[in-house]
Amino acid sequence: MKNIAVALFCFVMFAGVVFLTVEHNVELEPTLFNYFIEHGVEETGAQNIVSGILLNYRMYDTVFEAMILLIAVMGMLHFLYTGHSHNGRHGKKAGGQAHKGGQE
Amino acid sequence: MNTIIAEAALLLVMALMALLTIRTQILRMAIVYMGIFSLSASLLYVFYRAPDVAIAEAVIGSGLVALLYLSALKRYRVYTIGVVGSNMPNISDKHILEIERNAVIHDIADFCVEREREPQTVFSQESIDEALLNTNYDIVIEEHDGGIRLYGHDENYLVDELELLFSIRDRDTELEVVRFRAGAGI
Amino acid sequence: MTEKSSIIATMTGLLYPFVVLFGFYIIANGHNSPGGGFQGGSVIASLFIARYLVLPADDFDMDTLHHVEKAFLVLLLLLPLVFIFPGLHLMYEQFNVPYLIAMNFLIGMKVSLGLTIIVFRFGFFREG
Repeated sequence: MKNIAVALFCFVMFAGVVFLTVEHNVELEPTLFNYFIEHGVEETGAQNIVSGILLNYRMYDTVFEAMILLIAVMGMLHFLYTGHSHNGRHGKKAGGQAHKGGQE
Repeated sequence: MNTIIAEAALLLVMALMALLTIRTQILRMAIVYMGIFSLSASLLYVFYRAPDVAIAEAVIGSGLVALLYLSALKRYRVYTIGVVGSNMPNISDKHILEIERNAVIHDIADFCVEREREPQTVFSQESIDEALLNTNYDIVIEEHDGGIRLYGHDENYLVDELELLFSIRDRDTELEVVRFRAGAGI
Repeated sequence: MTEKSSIIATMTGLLYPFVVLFGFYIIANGHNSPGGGFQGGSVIASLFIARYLVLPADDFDMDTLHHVEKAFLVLLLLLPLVFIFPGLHLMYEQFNVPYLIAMNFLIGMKVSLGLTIIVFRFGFFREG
């Protein structure tokens, strides 16, 4: 009984959110939109305006996105320490052996 | 009008795939369903005129994520059940289907799923001694006339639980559990 | 999955050059067709990961890859620093398209290296 009540509640909330989103249509003021369409090609030289916006108008976004990826990689390298691969040649050898064992 | 129908169909496929992903018992099938989910999502993005997002979704959703999950599944514990039959001169598909319908193997597979191990059944023509020396099998099942013999490793604690399980239920086929020590054979 | 599958190995070997070509096409044509650095970079990264599935060999030096990735990030920061921020893109409009291609290329390389490192490190991780 309790489960059914919870399921019903979830479904009603979901339906309400979907209904509100569909009903609530806001027309944004198309100032920037028109500006990009009119001046985009001559200012950035890109036929694909998405690329032009990403690499020219919204430069900071792209740079910091790349930085987020770098931070993720650094976290990965730090926390998932495999014990080899950090000390060059010797470690590499050990890793190869471990893998041969796993394969066969 | 046509695009609306196509969009609705894609959304339905997505909902179906999401349901199948969480309902399926086999993890590898869940990954495949997730890939189909992502592919239909990316097709939907094409209908919404966002080809950039569609490419990213197709590559990451159904390529990278599926491969990542597959490599994670690789290290998921797989429980290998070796089936050796004394009367199995040449294995045909029909024969395998017949064995797979066998209740004992079915029960063991269910038991493995319950214990969060993925059951994998291997049918082989090896003799029982060869099969026992083969360290790939976690458990070996031998069929002989009228009964089934189950060989398990001494330290394999799942075998104990399986024996208990089968001793509680009474069944038509005879089943005996044999234990062996590492490297000793029978 | 515990053993090597020859079907997957053969198909990956067949598709290898085409996937590389497709990835570089997406990167190089990012400025006038759908796509760009991120999408092309992930296509190339998916290739490396498919290679990991076929042949899980640890013959990459992760640290070198990581250093190369950092170098690409520095270039990625430097290029707009010298081109966009002083306002050169308004004065020399003929350099706009080469700038876009170079940026897409740098982003693609960085993304592919980053995703490859993440997945490889995840794949080779052993407890203990």
